[in-house]
Amino acid sequence: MMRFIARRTVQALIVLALMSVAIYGLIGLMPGDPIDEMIANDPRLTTADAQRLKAVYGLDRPLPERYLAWAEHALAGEFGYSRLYNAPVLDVIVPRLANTVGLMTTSLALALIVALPLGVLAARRANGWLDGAINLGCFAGISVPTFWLGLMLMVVFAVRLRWLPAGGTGVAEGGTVIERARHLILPVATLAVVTVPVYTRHVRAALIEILGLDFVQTARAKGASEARVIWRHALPNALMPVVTLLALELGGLFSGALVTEQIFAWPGMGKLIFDAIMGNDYNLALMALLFATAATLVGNLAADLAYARLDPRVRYDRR
Amino acid sequence: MTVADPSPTLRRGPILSARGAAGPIGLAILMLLALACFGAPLIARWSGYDPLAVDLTNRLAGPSLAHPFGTDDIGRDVALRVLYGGQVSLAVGIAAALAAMVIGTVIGLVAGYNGGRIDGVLMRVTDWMIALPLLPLLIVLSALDPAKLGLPADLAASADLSLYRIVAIIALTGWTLVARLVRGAALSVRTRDYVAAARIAGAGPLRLMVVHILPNVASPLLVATTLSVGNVILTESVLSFLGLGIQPPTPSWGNMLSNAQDLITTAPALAFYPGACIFATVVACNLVGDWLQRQLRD
Amino acid sequence: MSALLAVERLVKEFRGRGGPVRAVDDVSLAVEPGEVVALVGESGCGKTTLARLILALEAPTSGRVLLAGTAPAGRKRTARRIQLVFQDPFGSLNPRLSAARIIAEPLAIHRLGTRRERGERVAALAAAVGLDPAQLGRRARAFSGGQRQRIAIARALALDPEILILDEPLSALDVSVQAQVLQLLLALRERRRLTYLFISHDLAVVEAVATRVAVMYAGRIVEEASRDALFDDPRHPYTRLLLASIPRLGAGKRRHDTAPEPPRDAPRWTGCAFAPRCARAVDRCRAETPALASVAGTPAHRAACHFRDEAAA
Repeated sequence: MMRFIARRTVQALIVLALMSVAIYGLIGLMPGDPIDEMIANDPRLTTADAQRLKAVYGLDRPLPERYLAWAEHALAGEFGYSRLYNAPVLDVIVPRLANTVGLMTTSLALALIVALPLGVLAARRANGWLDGAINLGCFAGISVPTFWLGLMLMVVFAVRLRWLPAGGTGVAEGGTVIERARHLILPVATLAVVTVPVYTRHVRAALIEILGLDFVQTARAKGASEARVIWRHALPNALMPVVTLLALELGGLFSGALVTEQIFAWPGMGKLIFDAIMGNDYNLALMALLFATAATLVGNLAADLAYARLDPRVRYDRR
Repeated sequence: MTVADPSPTLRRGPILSARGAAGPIGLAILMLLALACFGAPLIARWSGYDPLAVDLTNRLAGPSLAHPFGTDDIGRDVALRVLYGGQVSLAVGIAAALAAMVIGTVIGLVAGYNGGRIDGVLMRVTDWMIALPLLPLLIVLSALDPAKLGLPADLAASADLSLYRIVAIIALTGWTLVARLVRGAALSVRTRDYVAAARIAGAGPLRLMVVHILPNVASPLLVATTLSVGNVILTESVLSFLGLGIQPPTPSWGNMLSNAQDLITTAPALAFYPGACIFATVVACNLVGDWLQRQLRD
Repeated sequence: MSALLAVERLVKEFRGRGGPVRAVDDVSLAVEPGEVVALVGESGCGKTTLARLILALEAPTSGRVLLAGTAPAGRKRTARRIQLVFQDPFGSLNPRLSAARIIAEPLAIHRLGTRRERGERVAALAAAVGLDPAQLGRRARAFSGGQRQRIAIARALALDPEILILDEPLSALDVSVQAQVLQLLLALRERRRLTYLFISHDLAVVEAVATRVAVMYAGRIVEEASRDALFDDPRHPYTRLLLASIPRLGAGKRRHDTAPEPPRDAPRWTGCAFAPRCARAVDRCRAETPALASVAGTPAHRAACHFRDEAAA
């Protein structure tokens, strides 16, 4: 077990290192030397100034050298300075991360709260009309383009009905819990619509399989009510695939919901990554992306471990 | 493969227990859309309306007999623009899905047929690609400067560049599912006696892969590719929405939505139609794909 | 050497659980033109691995394979001289292809003949193996086991090889069909002057078909003699055991005085591999590996047993 973890950790580190090289190179291939852009925006900058600025930011050196310099600093724990925001990279990332994590966990929680009962319902009435209806809903949910959905929701609830705000986190409006909650509703709803169907289907499928197993019959024979049978006995086992899914979701937690953040002006990681890449801010883009990748790798490892340890078949045998 | 939130692993869940009619319905929807979109020039001619005609006196009109979906911010007929946009979105979707399928098939075949080290290396690469956050990667790829990549100048400046680029980057990032599928099939088939018989008869690896292994994986390949078309269309529309995909003036459903975002308060209908089309297409693709899957299972 | 096919000190080692396992352990064999050399042994003794080594489907750990005195010049060249008929008629034919395509494939691979010529050749081959040429358009899965084996044989003959390796060609067939296919194989050999390496665990078939017999056990050849010599005067305890179990060997059939079979991936021990199961084993057997040497007086009859010179009681 420990060897497995150690091996995977080493692999993950290699991936991260390779990724950093790849991203650095790719960003280097993007158009626009940032200093040249500064010159374009501010004609008073002389060539001498430009040279000086380049030297300060180290942009006059070739790409591989710059990468190695970055790597050196990164390994020492210094993640550099963000050019776009004029602040240390970590200072920029952390609050954004908090925003994104807040958004994603809320929507995940909501999704689970809806998906679990829905999945149970579908499983209990499997192949009936209710199951079919739920299925259809799931189908629609995974097919809908989130950005369109977000826009439509915004049109209806923020523009036409004016019940909810169109964007932002609520901090500007006072930062109270109520304000924050109001600002969360639309983005969370948008994300949830896409997330609920996936978990619902998994819960339904797993539950259907489990409900046919012996130990469920035993519980029923012992006189337990149907609800108890499902919620105490069957569901915990059915949650295994859900847990695995959640683990795999870890990366998404950090890279955020880019488009949703864009639409609802939610200052999160997704938007940050986008702005950083488009703004040629190497340090920021790198760190943000590496964060996301690291989270994904950790999540994959956790999912694999969970799978190996909690394989439901092993559980059932023991009963 | 998908770029809409949340992350790709979630999108493909357990099979729907769709009723048997769902597949053909999906197919019908797709055919209708394809017909309408690719027949847009004919429709334009028949209705006598020029989709590029700018009519500033009739901006942002509501639905009418002449303009069933109304007009946009510079007076163009929305319905026709949606159809023309559909041409591009559908074409890109199919092209990119096919390209990804080809790449994935080649990699999967090579990995599965050879086994051993080659398989190990290729699968490692595949796993890495899966671990990368997809949307940021696509953003970076689509923002690359073609001049710095060494592309010839006339290609880099052409209006079609954004089309080629988006097909290329979606294909380059979307082959992983197909690769795994094909590899699995190849691994299971390569130990069969008839493959050994062909080798004994002197067949080279190419023949073995194409004649003996590939046909065995054709069915799941078809299903996976069909399902991927919907996702590819979503991807293209997200990228175009962000301004990185298909560039105006070439219309696509994605960049029409991006356009509409600025006008969302005054003319929400402009955002509705292209998005609804994307929705319908993706639903249809998924219906057909799932139906195929169930058919091929039995 | 005039031998059509020769195998010299062939060794194939795999990585097993307890260490390296020798599926084929220092095997030397020569097959003269026109012979039917039968390779006999129970499952797991290495006969199929040996066949795969000869056909270059696997690379030997050491030793070499010679075709008419020279090393094989690439798989394509080898394919025209030596072919294989598999044991399982259901797995050895691609179920999606028609019988005609299957038989024609070797021709297609080597680009022999035009389309029409290939078609004619396929029809001729089909007729030679007793198949109705009109049926060849059907997919392989439409045929019965016996018919499939005929298709496999036709395919093997497509390139006009000199040598045919037959790996248990009858074992997967119904009893009634076995005789027919056997007849076919014998007739083909006559008409086309083929040389066979016939792998089988069924001694009754071997007795009917072989000119020479080699008995394999645990990766080694333990006895080698002409057919008559082997059946009349076996000199290795294992051969005697096999003969005593006629008419059939196979999993689950009755055996005489055997200890349980050694596990496949057990590490090699010194001495005779058969010693644990041998009724006559003495300490020398366990300490010293017997060589495959001639029985006194009959150089063509060789056995790997310290007691080879003692005739059966």
